Amino acid sequence: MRKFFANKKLIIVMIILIATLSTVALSFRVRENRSAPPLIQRVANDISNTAAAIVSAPMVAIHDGFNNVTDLVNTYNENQALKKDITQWQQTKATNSTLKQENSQLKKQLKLNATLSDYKQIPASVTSRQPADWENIFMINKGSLQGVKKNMPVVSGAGLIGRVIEVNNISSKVELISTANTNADRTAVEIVNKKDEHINGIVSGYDKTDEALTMTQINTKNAIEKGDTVITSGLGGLTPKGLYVGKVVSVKNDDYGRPATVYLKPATNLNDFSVVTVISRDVQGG
Amino acid sequence: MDRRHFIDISIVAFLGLLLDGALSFAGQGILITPQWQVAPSFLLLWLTFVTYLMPSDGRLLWLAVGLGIVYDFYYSGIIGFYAIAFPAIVYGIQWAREYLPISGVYAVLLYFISIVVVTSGVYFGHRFLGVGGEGFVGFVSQVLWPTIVVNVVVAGLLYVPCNRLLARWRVES
Repeated sequence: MRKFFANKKLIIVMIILIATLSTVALSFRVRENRSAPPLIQRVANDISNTAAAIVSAPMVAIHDGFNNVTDLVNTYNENQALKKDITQWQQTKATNSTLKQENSQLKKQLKLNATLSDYKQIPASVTSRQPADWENIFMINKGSLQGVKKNMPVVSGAGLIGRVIEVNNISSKVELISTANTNADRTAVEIVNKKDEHINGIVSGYDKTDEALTMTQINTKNAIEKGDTVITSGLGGLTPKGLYVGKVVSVKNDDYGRPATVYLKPATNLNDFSVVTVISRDVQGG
Repeated sequence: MDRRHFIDISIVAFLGLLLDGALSFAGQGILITPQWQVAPSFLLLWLTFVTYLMPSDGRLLWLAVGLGIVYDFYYSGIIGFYAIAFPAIVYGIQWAREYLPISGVYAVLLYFISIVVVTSGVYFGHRFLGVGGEGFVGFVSQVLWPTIVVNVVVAGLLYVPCNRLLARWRVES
């Protein structure tokens, strides 16, 4: 025993290991439970994020240039498809406007200031992404000073892509909806089927083989079909109702023939986005 | 190593830290896909080359600790993984360089070992916490292997310019 403690280097290594494990455990708890990290971490993150925005700017410009060329190649086909949709879209727009007006009047009559579907938008740019992508985290250039709060949902393009997990003063970290983090808060969603029935569940992960989000905790006898729309249900957390998540691509039934896992095609490519919108729900609550 | 060049090394290292994330973001869809993930490791490359090619300096160890903490702060919020991985690599290379002649092959070999140690260490750390659901086989085939291939090729290309720059700084020091 005396010989063991006489080995100075071994003792130093052990102390470093214990200190590191403690720091990992402590910071992990802080990240999961506290609304914002300690001041020193917030300042370091804001400085790093500002510098990262400058470093990534030329690379993003090149990336966007390539995307523009690809878009140009696809322009003709997209134009044909859009021409078909546009007549229907005009009708939907008119209906939507009428419904919105009607909805607003009804809310006034009921003295409802805000409902689960009301929200404000905070636009943000992506500045950086976690290099070793274990946790599917990326950084944005908006923080608490712009009204961002922990657990707010984040959308890009057509639909939901993640939620805010850490808020600094002028930057935030966002965890993708596809994360494999078992400790992550899950998004409550609902499937709207062809009969306009709503089926609740949660997005529980991402299937790399099928490149689809997985939805579980479904308890229904209602039919779920390929192509059904999936939106957020507004239950729990800070996510408003009605954010588009994706479409059903396949359904895996359990031994009793009930849907156990539903595979969803995300509305947005989860590996290609540069501008996002943080959603701030008007109605707050657990 | 004089103070000016130590500051220069620190600035390049910090740029490497930012470049890792910026490249992951700008190259998403190519570097990060459902089939594979390549983690850019410019900071680790710079730390490996500096430790191997510059005269031994105790401050490099503290620089690695500082950069590791900032890396943990900025990229994950879980502090400890890179804060211990980077100085461990610097310490290991400082020990190994006593037995190795200066050569491009050894520099790239040391970088190869550094990537394996850091990527695997951080992977097991995350698995321990339940963060990151990649199985071990998936990790080796879809993450570690592509990361090694791309980064070792980059190291081969950057060895000559880095060596020239560091040789000049060595002389000036």
